[in-house]
Amino acid sequence: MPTPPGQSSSQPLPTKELGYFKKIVKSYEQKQYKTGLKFAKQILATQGFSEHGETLAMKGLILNCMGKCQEAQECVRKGLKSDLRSYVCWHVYGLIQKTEKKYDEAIKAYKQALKLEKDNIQILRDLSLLQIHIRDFDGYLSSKYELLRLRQNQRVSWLGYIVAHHLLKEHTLALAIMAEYIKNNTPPGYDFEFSELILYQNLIMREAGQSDVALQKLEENSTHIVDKVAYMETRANLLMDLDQPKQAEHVWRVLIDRNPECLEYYDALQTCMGIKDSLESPKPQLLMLDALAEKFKKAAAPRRLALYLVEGEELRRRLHEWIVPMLRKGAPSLFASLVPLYKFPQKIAVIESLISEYVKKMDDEGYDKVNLNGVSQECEPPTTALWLYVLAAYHFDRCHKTELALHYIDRAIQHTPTVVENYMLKARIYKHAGDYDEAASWMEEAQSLDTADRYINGKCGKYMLRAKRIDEANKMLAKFTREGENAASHLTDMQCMWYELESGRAFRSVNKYGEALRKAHHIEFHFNTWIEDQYDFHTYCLRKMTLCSYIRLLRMEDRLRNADYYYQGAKLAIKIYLRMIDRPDDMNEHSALIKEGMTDQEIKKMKKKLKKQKELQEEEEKKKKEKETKEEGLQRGPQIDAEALLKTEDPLGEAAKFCHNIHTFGTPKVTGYALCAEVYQRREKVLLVLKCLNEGTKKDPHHPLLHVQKVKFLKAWPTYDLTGIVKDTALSLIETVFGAELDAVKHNDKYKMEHQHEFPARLAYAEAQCAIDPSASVVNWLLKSVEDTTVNERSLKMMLKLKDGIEYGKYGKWSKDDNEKLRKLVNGLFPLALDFGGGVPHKSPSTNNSTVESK
Amino acid sequence: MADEEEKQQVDKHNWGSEELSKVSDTKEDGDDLKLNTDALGNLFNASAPARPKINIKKEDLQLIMNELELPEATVRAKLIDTNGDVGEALRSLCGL
Repeated sequence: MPTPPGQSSSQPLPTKELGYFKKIVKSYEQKQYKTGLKFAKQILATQGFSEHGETLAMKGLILNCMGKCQEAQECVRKGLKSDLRSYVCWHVYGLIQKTEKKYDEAIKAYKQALKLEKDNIQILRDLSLLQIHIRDFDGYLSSKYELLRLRQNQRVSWLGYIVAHHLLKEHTLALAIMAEYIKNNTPPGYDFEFSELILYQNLIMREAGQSDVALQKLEENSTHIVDKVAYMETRANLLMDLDQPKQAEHVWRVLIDRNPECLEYYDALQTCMGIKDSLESPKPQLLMLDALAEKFKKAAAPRRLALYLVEGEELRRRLHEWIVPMLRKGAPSLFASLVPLYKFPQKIAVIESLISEYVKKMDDEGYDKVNLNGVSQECEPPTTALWLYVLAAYHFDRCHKTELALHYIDRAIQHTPTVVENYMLKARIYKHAGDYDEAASWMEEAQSLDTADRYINGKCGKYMLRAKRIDEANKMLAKFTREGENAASHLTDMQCMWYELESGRAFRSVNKYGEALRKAHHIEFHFNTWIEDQYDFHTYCLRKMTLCSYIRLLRMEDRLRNADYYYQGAKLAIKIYLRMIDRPDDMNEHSALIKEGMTDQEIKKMKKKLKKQKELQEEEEKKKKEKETKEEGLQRGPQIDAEALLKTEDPLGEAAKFCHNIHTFGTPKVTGYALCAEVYQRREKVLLVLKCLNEGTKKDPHHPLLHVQKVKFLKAWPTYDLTGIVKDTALSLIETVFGAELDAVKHNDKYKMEHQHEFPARLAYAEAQCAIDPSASVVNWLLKSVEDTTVNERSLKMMLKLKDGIEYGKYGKWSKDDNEKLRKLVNGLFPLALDFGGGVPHKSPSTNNSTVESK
Repeated sequence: MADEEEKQQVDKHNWGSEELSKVSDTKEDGDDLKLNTDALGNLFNASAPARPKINIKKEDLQLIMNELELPEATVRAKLIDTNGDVGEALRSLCGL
């Protein structure tokens, strides 16, 4: 017989107080916290019970729910101290530890509570939830076993026990228990939950490698399965696993009948027909796609997929058939559908010639008479011209022909001045050309045309951040955030990742590294929140029987930090931490103000002034914060202080925390591995450096950033002193990564020879050379590379990398003259790039209107 | 009176978490599973599921945790996978 709370104590309460205690528990369950606290006060005020353990525990639990975490902790601790024999005190102590994310502590506390009160269902449940949460599958299994033993006629007990076995890969046991359950509980008719269960059984069978049994069971139960698409997809995949492509092909075709736009179906169909990647010619694939295109007159997928298979005249013909109807309709996705073709120069040429032909025809015949199909049917609708100019602008922007792109977007705007997207495209062209100010002002123009549109509002904010106009951006974004509140904190509440990232980068670009780091840590915070969020699903999914999705959720959460946003945020943080070590003076945001040639007195004076300014600012912020706290009662969201982040004792350690999450989940980014290698190199974690170099090499053996790290490693390798299995492992890794060439200089020279026509590789060579020999001079060679027309990929992005790298000191010593030479050269290549002294000439600060008129 | 007010407040501000608490609350399902008692007997006559014990040396654990900056749980799981072979575990964690 279970002991009810309040009687388990070694400090038994008299009847009256026991009544109060029961009321506390009830109020807690009904979330009437204030009432609960009132009763707790009554007991604690009674003589002899001022230190009553279980009452203190309950009081703490309630305080915790009210957000008073600090007070709650103290209360619960005090309670536990005064009554160590009470399971309630231990249970509550565990719950509080859980909210503090001290999972190991919490599990220990639950186990202690269970020792005192064996078979308490509630504690067992809480324990099992935490065990699955931290992926202690063994522990989860034994808790689920106990729960099933105690509650044999409850469905969730059975399901939990099956899931536990499945997660431990004990498929046979899981399936045996599942079979027993199904045998006794097959419903007579339609039942969604049973359908889910059947699909889950099937998932386990497939993971156990029993495709044949899985298929057989799937067919037996086909009438029970409500989700017909899942049924057919599973069936087709099983048939493929069992080497029955003909039958599988049939199922895929039925699926395409249902949804002719699903690209995966086409892919699987090709595999079944044995025509995927046919080396000789894409003919069989084209036949298949054309037949389906004929069958599904309105389907885009078969037509679009065919575009990526052909070349030359054939491509031209198909593109014509693809583009013209889209231009007539004004389909916004037209350019996006062509993007995969831009990997191939010949295909770009075909697109360009088609576009020029259309434009010429339009010009020659007049856009109210022209017909792009040649045959003199009806003339084109007037908007065809508009979308043609837009397409041309996209095309030339993509090809880095800024002038032409601007020419066409201006024609489009002239044609119809009210299309918001046209101004957005114009802004985008300026952004790609490097004039972020002009880009932002065109985005503002677009925004002003539709102030009720959230998307364009967001875009406008983003462009302002790129132009380093942080305050303006926040004002713009505030139009769509909660009234009377700072846009930044609202967007953090909303876990708005693009904003965290862009504003972090904006702060970095104005040397506010603390604020930038804070934004990166917000991203980390959001990811932690999402890991936390899965907690509720452990109960919910078992109850709702959505087990396939539940298993998918668990696996997704395990690799959540593999997401691109996490990588971008981590990169921002790691690079700032490295900068703290390499260039500590940068961390002072006003360091740029102290110029050469200033006298000591002047510097002193300025520093004093800045300090005063800062104090004033801090005072103000403090006041603001206090006001916010007062208004909201408690503070929401991450409480991360920018100044404190900058004052860290161990920047390398902080960077390594981010690195861990980048390489552990097998990120697809080579640059990620290179960045991690840099950090681990400095921490002298040889095996981790090699692991990252090895993984990176697998993805792209010649990546420039990885090359730099390889050379740095080779240079440092002779200085490491390793023994035993660590040395053995390191040697095997070196063998895989480097082969026989272990000389840093030779390795670097070889790389230079092999990749001399690639600008990024040249940058890498120069950086590596300077790392080997800090006195090496690469200035002239790099300057020559910038203007060498035989060198490819001399993009604006690369030029910015060069510029930043010079400032950082990656490429040796550059004199003022050298820098000016570089500026002039790049300015010649990219006349609109602000970073190299270019940009649209402005007469006065607000020339928006006059520019429109002059065109 | 005060209770009433409090309840209302909760509703207004926490409607999201209210929904969630509905799904994660702890009320017991009324269940009427039909079960074959023999099968259940078989299931529970066998003692609680026991996991194979693998001896893991503390210094092995420490070595890998230090070299690869990994949490204990990850390293322990890997060492169980490799039957306690520290060299094999290290190589596997390094991607070899």
